[in-house]
Amino acid sequence: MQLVCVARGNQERGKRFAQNLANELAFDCLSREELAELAIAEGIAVGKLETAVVKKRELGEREVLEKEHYLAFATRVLCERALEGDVVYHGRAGHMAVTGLPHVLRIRTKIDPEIQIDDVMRRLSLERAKAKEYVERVDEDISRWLRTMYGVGRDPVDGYDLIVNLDRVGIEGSTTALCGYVQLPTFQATPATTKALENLALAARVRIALARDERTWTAQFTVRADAGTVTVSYLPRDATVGVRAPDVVSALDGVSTVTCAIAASNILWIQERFEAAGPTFEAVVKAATHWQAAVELMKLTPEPEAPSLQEDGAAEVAAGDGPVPLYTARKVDGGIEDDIELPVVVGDDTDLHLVFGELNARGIAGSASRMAADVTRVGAAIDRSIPYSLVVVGDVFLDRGHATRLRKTRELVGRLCDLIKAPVVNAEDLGHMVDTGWSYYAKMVALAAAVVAIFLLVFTHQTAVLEFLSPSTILQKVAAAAVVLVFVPLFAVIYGTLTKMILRLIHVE
Amino acid sequence: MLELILKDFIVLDLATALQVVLLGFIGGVLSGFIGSGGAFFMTPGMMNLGVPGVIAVGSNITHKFGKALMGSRKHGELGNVDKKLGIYLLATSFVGIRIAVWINIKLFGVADAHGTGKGAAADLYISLVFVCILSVVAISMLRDVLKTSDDDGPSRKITELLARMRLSPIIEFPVADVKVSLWVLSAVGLATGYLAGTIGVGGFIGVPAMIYVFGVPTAVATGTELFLAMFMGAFGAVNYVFEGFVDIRLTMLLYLGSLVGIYIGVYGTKVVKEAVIRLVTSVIILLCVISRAIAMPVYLRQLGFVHFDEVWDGRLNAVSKGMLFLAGVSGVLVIIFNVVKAFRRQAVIRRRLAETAHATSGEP
Repeated sequence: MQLVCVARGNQERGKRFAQNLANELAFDCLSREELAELAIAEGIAVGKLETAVVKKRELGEREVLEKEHYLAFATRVLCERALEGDVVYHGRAGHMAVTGLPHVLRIRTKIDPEIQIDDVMRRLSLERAKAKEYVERVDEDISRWLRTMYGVGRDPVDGYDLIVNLDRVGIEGSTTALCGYVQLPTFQATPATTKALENLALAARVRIALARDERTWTAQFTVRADAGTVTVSYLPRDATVGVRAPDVVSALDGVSTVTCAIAASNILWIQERFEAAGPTFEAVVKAATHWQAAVELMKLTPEPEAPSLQEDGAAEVAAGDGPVPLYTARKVDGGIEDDIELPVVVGDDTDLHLVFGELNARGIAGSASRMAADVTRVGAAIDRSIPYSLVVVGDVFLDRGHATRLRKTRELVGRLCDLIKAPVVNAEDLGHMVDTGWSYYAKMVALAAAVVAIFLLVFTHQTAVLEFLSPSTILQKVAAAAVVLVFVPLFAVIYGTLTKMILRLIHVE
Repeated sequence: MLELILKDFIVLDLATALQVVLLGFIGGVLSGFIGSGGAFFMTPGMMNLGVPGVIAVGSNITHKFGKALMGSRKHGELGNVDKKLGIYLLATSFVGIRIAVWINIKLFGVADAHGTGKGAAADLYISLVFVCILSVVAISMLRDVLKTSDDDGPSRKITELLARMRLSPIIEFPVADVKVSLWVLSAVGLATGYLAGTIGVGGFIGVPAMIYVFGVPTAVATGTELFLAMFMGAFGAVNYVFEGFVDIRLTMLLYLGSLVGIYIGVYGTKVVKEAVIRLVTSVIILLCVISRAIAMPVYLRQLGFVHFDEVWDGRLNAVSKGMLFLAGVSGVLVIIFNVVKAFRRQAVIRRRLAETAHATSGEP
């Protein structure tokens, strides 16, 4: 029932240390490589995730779902192994897959880079320069993997109970020391830890079932379990899929009750000049309040220059491709920040400051950033792993003419629609409700009557009309041409407006 | 044989009228989505219903005037019309049209050694230009769509080459967000006019030229082409009314379908990916090229260049028309499929927003 997680990265000595420790303690030993093989055998695209990390690209929507599936699988395997007996797991950051278990011993091994290079030279028969390059590259990949999968860095202090310096203490010495350390009461299994393990294993099984079922695989879920009672949370944008979760999981072993809830999420609001009033602000606040979402503000500044903003030199960063963070909050979980310290903002960003303050006062402020108004860069800068429930594109490209602004805004909305799973709307769509009051219908009826009248007039006097349109004298020809030039656009406008109003009623506009 | 009113105009029953409305709808969707393509479908379609060719052309060009006006108005609301670019192209294209008409008139009088086949030379020449030019356009577009990823726009090779040449004077078009040399502009306008006058489908040339030569965004090219078509339609309508070849009833029936279609087509440009717009356009053009190529042996036979039984003229023409209809109908089905897909996505957003509004206002 004991669980020891060794974060050894790619170190050969770290691997030997973990195996030694398992042998000495007579614990079962499980490596990351074995776990990955089991995951692949279950149909999880681990290779795809690895490739995305190595190629330094953001995970797409599908890969984010694959990541959730993999993490749930890792949790399930670790918990089930730990329920069967004592386990030493060694890999990158296995303890992150079993967070919430108080008795897990979390160890990080450390080794002098030069020794690590020597090990690689021997193991892979490489020259020193190449071995050094190899070690650095693998370390970078592991760091990115941790950030991508768990949102954490490779800080040697945070999140570990013990750092073991293998090149100083040696594998044997470290093993001996750790055998005693494992016996401390903190790391012993108790009925409470067993219950926590069972709950975590059940939640992981439920999450995997949701990831494998064709009715629910497309949605992001958070699952909690407590003695058979399972709570499944999903994002507002996945509401239609989320409601099917009970059908999928209620028959699973160990599940007695299933409760569904809509989780907190983020709304991204992109605009050039923010206003703490007006229809867009009100609509965003309404949506955020209803969905319990935090509002992230992204201010676009006209290209090419980005004005100076903060006294700490942040403006220099603005010239780059990415957004400049101004206020940061919890980005990933969409949580609502209550107590954010507002920094002093100078320059043209007082509007952003005011709106952020207003949102903060309502308890729905998320974060704020600023970047250059470029359709391609904005799309690339948005973190696609954040579960946005809505993206609102307000007034942007204000330095352009009316027609260009409309077009570029539409391009931006279209691009974001392609990149982000969440609905992307412009401010007009968000705040504007079609006025379908009596005057709208009255106008429609009047136009329809005009169209019918014109048709009746023409089709009940066909011969006369066609005679008029078969002129023989110059005067008749000019008259016919003049009538056609007036009648045709007039009829087109009347009927066209009627068509537009009808299509608008059914939202095809 | 259909009964005619005043010798030139057909008697319209309900079935015929509904078919004209359907033709209008298909032409409207194509026109709104790819900025061109209505005429190639509607004119032969009406001729199949028994409308004399010249009346079909006259009624259609009159319809094109109002339809292009509405289409360009709608595109204008979306910021897709560069009027400055449209006016420049219009001025130069009129010269091109005059050159094309002059060549056509000269060729129309050419017959074989026995004096037969009058008009076949012009038809062959028109078909040859149609096949050569449009197959180059279609294949280039198709290659461009297939080799570029979703994130890439259309190829900018020609645009960049011309920009490097810096042929003064350079004119800026703020809506399309491009700078084009007056010389390049005139050459394209002239070519567009010449082709519009020769093969009657200026949009098929104007739209790709604006996209690939000027670097104009696809939606703006479509909107600007409709703006051009409005003036060309008005000019054509006046000419045909003078000759008494406009059946206003057909024009009105075409409107019934086309204005609904054009709104759906324009909505499509708003919600369908640019790569899909280009793919659909190139496939439709390619099918039209095949259709015309199938009809070419008929003209060659009429001019005495090849010999086969006359009965094959009708068969080849029938296959050619079938191909044309296949192009139009399949194009419209693809467009409508994509529009419906996007519409459903929008519907989900609207429902959620409505739920939010109800929940926060405390309504049940």
